[in-house]
Amino acid sequence: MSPHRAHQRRFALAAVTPAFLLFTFWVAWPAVKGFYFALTRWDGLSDPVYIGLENFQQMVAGFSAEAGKSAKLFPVAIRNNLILMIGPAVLILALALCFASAMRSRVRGASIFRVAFFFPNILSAVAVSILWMLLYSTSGFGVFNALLGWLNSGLTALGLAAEPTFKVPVAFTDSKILAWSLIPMIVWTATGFYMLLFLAAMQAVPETLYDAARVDGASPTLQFFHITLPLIWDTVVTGMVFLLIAGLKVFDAVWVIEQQQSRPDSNTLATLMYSKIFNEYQAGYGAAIAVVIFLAVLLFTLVTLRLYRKEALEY
Amino acid sequence: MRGTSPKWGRRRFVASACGALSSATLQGCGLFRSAGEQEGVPRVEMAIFDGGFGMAWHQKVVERFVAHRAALGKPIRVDFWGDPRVIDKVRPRILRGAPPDISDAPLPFWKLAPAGALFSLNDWLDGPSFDQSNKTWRETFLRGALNPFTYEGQTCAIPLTFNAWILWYDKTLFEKHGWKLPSTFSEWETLCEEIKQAGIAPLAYQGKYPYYGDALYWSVFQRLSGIRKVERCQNFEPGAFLDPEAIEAARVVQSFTTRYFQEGAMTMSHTEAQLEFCNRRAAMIPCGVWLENEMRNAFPKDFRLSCFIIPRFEGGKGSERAVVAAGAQAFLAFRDGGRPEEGAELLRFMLSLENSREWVKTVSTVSSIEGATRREEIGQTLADVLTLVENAAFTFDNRLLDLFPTWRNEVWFPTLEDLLSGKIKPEAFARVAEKGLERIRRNPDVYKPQPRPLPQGAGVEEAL
Repeated sequence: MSPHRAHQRRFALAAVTPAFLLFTFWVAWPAVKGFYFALTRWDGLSDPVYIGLENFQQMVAGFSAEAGKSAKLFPVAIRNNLILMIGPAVLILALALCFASAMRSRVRGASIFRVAFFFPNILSAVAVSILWMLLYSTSGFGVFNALLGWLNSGLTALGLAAEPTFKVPVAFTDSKILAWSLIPMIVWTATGFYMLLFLAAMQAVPETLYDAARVDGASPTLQFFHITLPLIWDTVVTGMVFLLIAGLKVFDAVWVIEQQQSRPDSNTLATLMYSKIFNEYQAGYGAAIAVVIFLAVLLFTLVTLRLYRKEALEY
Repeated sequence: MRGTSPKWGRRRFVASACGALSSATLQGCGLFRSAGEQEGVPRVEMAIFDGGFGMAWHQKVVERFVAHRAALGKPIRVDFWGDPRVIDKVRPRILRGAPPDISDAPLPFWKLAPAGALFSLNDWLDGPSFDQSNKTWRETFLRGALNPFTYEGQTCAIPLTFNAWILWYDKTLFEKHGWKLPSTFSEWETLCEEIKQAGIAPLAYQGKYPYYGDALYWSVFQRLSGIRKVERCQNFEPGAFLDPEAIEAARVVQSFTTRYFQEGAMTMSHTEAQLEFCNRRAAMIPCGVWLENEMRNAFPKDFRLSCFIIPRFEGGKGSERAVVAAGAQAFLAFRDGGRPEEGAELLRFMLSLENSREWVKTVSTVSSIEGATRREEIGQTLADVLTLVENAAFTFDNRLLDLFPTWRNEVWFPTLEDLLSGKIKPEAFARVAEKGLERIRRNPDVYKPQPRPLPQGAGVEEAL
């Protein structure tokens, strides 16, 4: 190795070392410690006590039929996360693809729609949650309940219903149904982003393919399913994985709407973890939940990489 | 290297960067002592919750304390800082064994005290007060104010304010409709019916915060059955929640809330519910002393806020004047703070009569120091609160909420919400609460304090 090259290597090493040390000290080491804390009983204040896999056993025990309500916290949080992963993902992907196709075919007012759809995405999660809390409110300020009230009055006035059709106020933010109530909020917030993502992918598809399909008499629907969708599949998969991972990590919306109170029926894994660590001082159990979230995200990432390998299509 | 001065070469740059990084890290970890300490001047650190009450009063008190010590020839330096998330900054420092000397961060007293992290203030409390020569510092506090902060005889935290859970109403609205304050529970129910007939909801309720309903339950329980049965639950005696009178209290509460809480109240936040009250869509609301401060800008001009306590029951065994109340916004003193003695001294100064009076004037609340909240210096609303507190036969609180946070979050609050909204029968409510507490009793890892004595007060004997 020439002296110049050795010199360069030493400099590169010196430049990388501080960043490496910072990463090790502030990211890698706490993560390793996090794994260790998951194997302890620790209140976050005194010294942790090693208990092996007890925290994980406690989680699994919640799935048994005999488990009481308070033991079922973990399964309920998983259920809520599944609702928040699958529900928004299905709706957002369908809507975003529809809107992106419409934009691509240059419907009238496309640019206005593009801005309008994307706008909620630039709001912070807390702001969006507060906004939807007001929409859902059962107080005099609740927009949806006011609409339902007017609908009741309208139907009664028109003679279409003898009594109010909807029992208002509807408790949209009741803990037992909160996960379902969050789906429209997430769809409203995220659809614009995925629409732009898919639109960008669609615009990269060569126009000649559509020209050829049109010559062969393919309808717009057939063009979408046989040309557009297969050619943007990579992007769709990416979007799907983003949405699933986002659903797994939902915290802000639940925490804001539940007023920073942990409730057994509305917890997600993230709120349960936070509550266990910071409200109940069960930092060991909280760390175990964090490990579960980490492993789940890792699993989804690996699945994505696998899907990429299998489905990549080129033109 | 080209373009680099020989004095500031690459090696020196890297070495300096590493040095600065290590120094910052060590400083951050609290391993270096401050300059003031090195000069031989004791240094006290105070960490403040920078919330609605602000920090202006603290600043003034600290300046006066420093001047006072300098005048005595015992100079001291006080480093004080505030943050809305002070708890997140103090917690890791407790773990590192380098906490501030005193802090009002809302930390879990019942975790810290048994872990030996707190500093006993008994020597100061049982010594002379700062500016009332005929009293010990302990004697200057309102009755019951220190109760929640005493662990095995050692008081390790000092409350700045005194909170009472009471019922609020608007005098203007009541006068307009000719409604009178109830003197018995059945009169209260009659009043609620009248309010409903006027097209107004009788009670707004902050359903997303079960704390408000908790105070309601314990008030009713005490009025019906007396303080001894309440304290059986507070001392987690087996079967205490299954007592027929505890179940009867649950039944009364449920019967009341399902009829008179505003529609949709169970999913309202505190601001939503309190706005319903301010906008006169609900005639009454249960809340703490802070309501006036919190909603100051929301009351209509002609709103005349006043308060009362849950009325007595005909034939009830409990005190009709007992109030669910306790000291709040407590300053904790930390054993590992480095200068806990000076921290205690600062607290004694801070909660002197004169400083407490200024606290009341600054933030319009009830001080935990007796005589500090003076009628001539406060508004009519706070004066009404003061009357309730002064007339209280005794005060008591639900200590289980802070003692057993897991029971609170997983058992008590969800079950209480189900009770208030009529989703669970009173018997089932009692069974769930008792079963949850039984798990606590059997769990050796959960700290359980000694049974606490009955509260002090003239009315206790008659309320047994």
